[in-house]
Amino acid sequence: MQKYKIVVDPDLCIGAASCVTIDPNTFIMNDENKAEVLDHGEAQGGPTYEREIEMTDDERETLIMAAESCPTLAIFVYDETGEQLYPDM
Amino acid sequence: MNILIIGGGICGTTAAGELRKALPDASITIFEEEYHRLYSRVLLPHYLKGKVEREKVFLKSLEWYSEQNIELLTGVRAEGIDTKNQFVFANYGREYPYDKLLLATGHDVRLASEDARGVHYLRTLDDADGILARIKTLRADGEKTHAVVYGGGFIALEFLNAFHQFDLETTLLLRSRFFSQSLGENGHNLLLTHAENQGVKILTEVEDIELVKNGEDLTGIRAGGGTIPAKILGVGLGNHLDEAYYKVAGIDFGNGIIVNQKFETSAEHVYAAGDIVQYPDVLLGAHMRYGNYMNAMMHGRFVAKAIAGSAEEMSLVSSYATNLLGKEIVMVGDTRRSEVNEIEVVHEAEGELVEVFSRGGRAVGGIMIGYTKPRATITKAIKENIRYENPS
Ligand SMILES: Cc1cc2nc3c(=O)[nH]c(=O)nc-3n(C[C@H](O)[C@H](O)[C@H](O)COP(=O)(O)OP(=O)(O)OC[C@H]3O[C@@H](n4cnc5c(N)ncnc54)[C@H](O)[C@@H]3O)c2cc1C
Ligand code: SF4
Repeated sequence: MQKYKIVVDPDLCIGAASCVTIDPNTFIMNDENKAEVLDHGEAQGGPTYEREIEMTDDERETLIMAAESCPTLAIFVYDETGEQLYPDM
Repeated sequence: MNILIIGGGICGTTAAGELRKALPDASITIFEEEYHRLYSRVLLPHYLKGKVEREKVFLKSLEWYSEQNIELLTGVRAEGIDTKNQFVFANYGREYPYDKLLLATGHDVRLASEDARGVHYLRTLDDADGILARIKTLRADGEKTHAVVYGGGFIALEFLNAFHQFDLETTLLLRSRFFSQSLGENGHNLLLTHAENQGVKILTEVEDIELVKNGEDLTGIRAGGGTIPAKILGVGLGNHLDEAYYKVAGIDFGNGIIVNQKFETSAEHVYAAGDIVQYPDVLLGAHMRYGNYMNAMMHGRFVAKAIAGSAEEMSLVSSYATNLLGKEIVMVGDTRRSEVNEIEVVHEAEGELVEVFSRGGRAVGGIMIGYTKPRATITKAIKENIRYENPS
């Protein structure tokens, strides 16, 4: 298990919901039609656009796929050292 | 294996990346008639509004293509396809043989009947650059600028949003309803009222328009019996598909390139995916041609699997989210009014409307305006092929 920080930029999020389709364990749409971040399906500590989550390699792969599916690059993924894993450019 | 891909948009590029994973030794070449590597068309409105910098609309770096050993030929149009002898000819005359060909050519825009300096479309990054340059010129003139938007679909809405942001006095010319295939009277009226409240002037039932010019420059639009001053016109009349291009090559074409669930066209070794195809959607029990990003990307992923020989099939409830001057609009699944036999209003309030579309008692689509809460439950009903039960 490794820790990842996941951040959704609500200004960029247009509510396309691709992330929710691909990784419903990590993303959920709120009433403003923006994606919030979940920790394994749970919103402990209340709704948020940013969370640190421990994930297996398989879970990370799904997360990256969800981030890649975002048409506005609104999802940012960082590893424990703070290095940005996605977008990777 | 020698794989050619026509179209370097999200579908073609996703497919190329997935093909590289599945077939490390294959030769993969993308033909892209634009002069750019992959960028997000969805980000173009954000770029226009100054929310993202130009460099940030790109989704892949040039290094990605070389690392993946994918040859990207930009500025190259695949002029024609010979499906019998299995080659594609490029606009500079060279012939490229293939073992497998993927058509990921997307949509073209439908053009207005005339052109002038100041008439704009919004499909490409170059289009967005052109709009920004025009706005800059007009601003330098220092006069109050009038703008016109022609059409009532997704792109027309993006023009309205952008012109609003630029503080242009805007008139909207509608040929029929907003989203004429999907919205009924009430949905249309809701958007109409909202746009008017935001200061947009609207003319409905505009059959055709005529441009008023000063030399090459647009100065006005004649429509509905009058003339509207306009130095910029945003055209959003929907798509144009070049049917002949495919038919000449012996590829069956209906409302898009006809493919089966494995994305195979009627021509052997030729696949098609993304916005250009009419795809048999198992969840909806209908042949669908979508124009949305998630669908095009998933097509890219699954067509690659099909080309590489996997039998995995795609199952996705497609959706499109947009907004008109702050009013959220979400459409999921099949929202063609003419193709369903039941449309139920499941929520209606001031400025809000939710309709669920059903076929044979099963939910196949939904439209949400100003209220998107039921999105998850509607999507779930479509996915599970059941009737939508209003939770309230
Ligand atoms: C301004 C704008 C905003 C949008 N907003 C949203 C949104 O908010 N949400 C959403 O879901 N979708 C949105 N879309 C739609 C989304 O961008 C498309 O559904 C998606 O890009 C389709 O991908 P594609 O790869 O199938 O086709 P395209 O992106 O159209 O790519 C096809 C490519 O093929 C190339 N091509 C075509 N013919 C040839 C040829 N003969 N030779 C060489 N190259 C060729 C074209 O140049 C093009 O680059 C928007 C589109 C636009 C234009
Ligand atoms: S995919 Fe991107 S734009 Fe769509 S809901 Fe998720 S974060 Fe928002």
